[in-house]
Amino acid sequence: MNEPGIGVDVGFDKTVHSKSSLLRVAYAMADRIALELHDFAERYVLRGTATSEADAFGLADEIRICAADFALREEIEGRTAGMRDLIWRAAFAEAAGTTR
Amino acid sequence: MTVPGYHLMPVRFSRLNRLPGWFILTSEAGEAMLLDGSTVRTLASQQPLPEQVERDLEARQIIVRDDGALATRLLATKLRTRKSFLRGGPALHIFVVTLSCDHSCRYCQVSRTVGGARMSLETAEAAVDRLFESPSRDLTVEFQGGEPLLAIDLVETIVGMIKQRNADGQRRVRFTMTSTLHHLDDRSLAFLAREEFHLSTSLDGPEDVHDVNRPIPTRDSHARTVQGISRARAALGRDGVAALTTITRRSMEAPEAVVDEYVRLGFRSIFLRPLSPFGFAAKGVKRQGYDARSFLTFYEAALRRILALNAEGIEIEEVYAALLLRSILTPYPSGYVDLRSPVGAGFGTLVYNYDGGVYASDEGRMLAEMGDQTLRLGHVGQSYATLMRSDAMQLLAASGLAESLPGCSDCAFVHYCGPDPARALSTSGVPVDHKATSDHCIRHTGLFELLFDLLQNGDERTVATLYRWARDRPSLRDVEAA
Repeated sequence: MNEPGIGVDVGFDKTVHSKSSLLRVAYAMADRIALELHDFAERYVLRGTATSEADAFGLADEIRICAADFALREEIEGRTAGMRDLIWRAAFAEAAGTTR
Repeated sequence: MTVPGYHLMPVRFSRLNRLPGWFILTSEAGEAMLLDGSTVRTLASQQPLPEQVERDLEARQIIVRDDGALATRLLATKLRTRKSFLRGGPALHIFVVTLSCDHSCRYCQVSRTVGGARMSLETAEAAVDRLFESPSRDLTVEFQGGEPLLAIDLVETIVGMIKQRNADGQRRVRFTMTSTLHHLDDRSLAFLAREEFHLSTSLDGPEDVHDVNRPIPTRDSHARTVQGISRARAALGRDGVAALTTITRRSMEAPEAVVDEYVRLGFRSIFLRPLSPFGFAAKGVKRQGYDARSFLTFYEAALRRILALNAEGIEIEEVYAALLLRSILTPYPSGYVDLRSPVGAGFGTLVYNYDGGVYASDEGRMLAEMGDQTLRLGHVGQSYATLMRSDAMQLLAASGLAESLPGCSDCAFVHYCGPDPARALSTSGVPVDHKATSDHCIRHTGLFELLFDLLQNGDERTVATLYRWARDRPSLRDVEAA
């Protein structure tokens, strides 16, 4: 039997948000809402169920904020991924059999 | 304003729930800065920032004005320093000499019996062999039980073996013991003093709290512990014995009273340690357990009491905070094996159980007592190299690097934290738990937020106390006792 509840649907522009960043949103918010990611032609939708209308509004806002944060993280990771790799390789060079 | 012209280096950020609108940013080496949302947006879009902010970010290698080659090397050096605990291999070696104990603590993580099993001489000899195969020059040998004072003859024998093997002085060896202190006598005290032991005991607060948490048939555990502390101090000096408190639901009713009891007994440190989800503690969780948020409420009340005492000139350190602050405010690892990445279990600690089993951590052997052998490396008769290549170590290597774990890899606090595969195995059956619902994650995120809030908004005395704790190394016995 389905639990009664208020649907929470938040859409995201595919040119701004990636599937992986939205999956990270679903992971991060799993203690508050179970989110499904739906893939439409031009947008993704994160869909879940809240227990009340007030919760639904609050959760939708949280989802948007969380998605913006993860999109930004992903953008920074993209810009700096090579650097991070270099830092770790230099720090632990001997683990790979080379010296710094 | 300066002319825009900087580039971002790798950086993690998290929102601070305690400080709405504020973010913490950390460099790849864990140097932190708190910024408001508007500044973060400006930074993310690489627009000009106020000059001082830009300088502060550059000093932490969060931004660079060139190709980043120099910053990369600086960050590599700092990262190497932060992970310097990896260099020597396991330094903490725990000998579980007996399971015998006359307490029946409701939260005990270890199986215990009166007249219980004890380590054989053959097992002890093999464990000493493994100890000396370990590459670390600095070794801490901790005796645990049960109650190790009930096997003090075996402890003396093992210490003798270790000293004989180390006759050339190639290793620096420290001896510690975790004990109720109830069974100290003149002979054991003379031995412990001669070998410069550091003792760690459990003191859960005032008599009414302690005796409920740690019952013994004579119902006088608190009185006997206080007497033991007094005798140990007389023989080993005031700093030769430390105590820690395990927080139960009963303790939570009286955070100030727990702290005040430590002050009354002249302790200069207190470790407010939460319950572990192992052994008897797991069985008693409904009666005495609590969630991470309840612990945080208790902890903040107790910490504020401790900070107020320090402001009045009564110096007492909260060890949990001191360990976290050392990670936050210095370039060095805290020395706390429970919060390391890669995980301290196995990589920093080995446990030689009374029956010859070798485990990656104390929690690993507790897990085994619950029927899960996942963190058993093997038998003490196997070589160090074989144990370190075991399936258990492979599992820890795969699941023990926080920087690569879901949830942790995005977290700005990852530099100060560490995964807990044993806890995850105990509570969820898998070595990597879900961070959104993990008590370990909720607790530590809350602790980091509290400490950053106090550092940012605390009064002058509070901030001075927190910096003092970070810079005065927490004593090793407190760390090991964890």
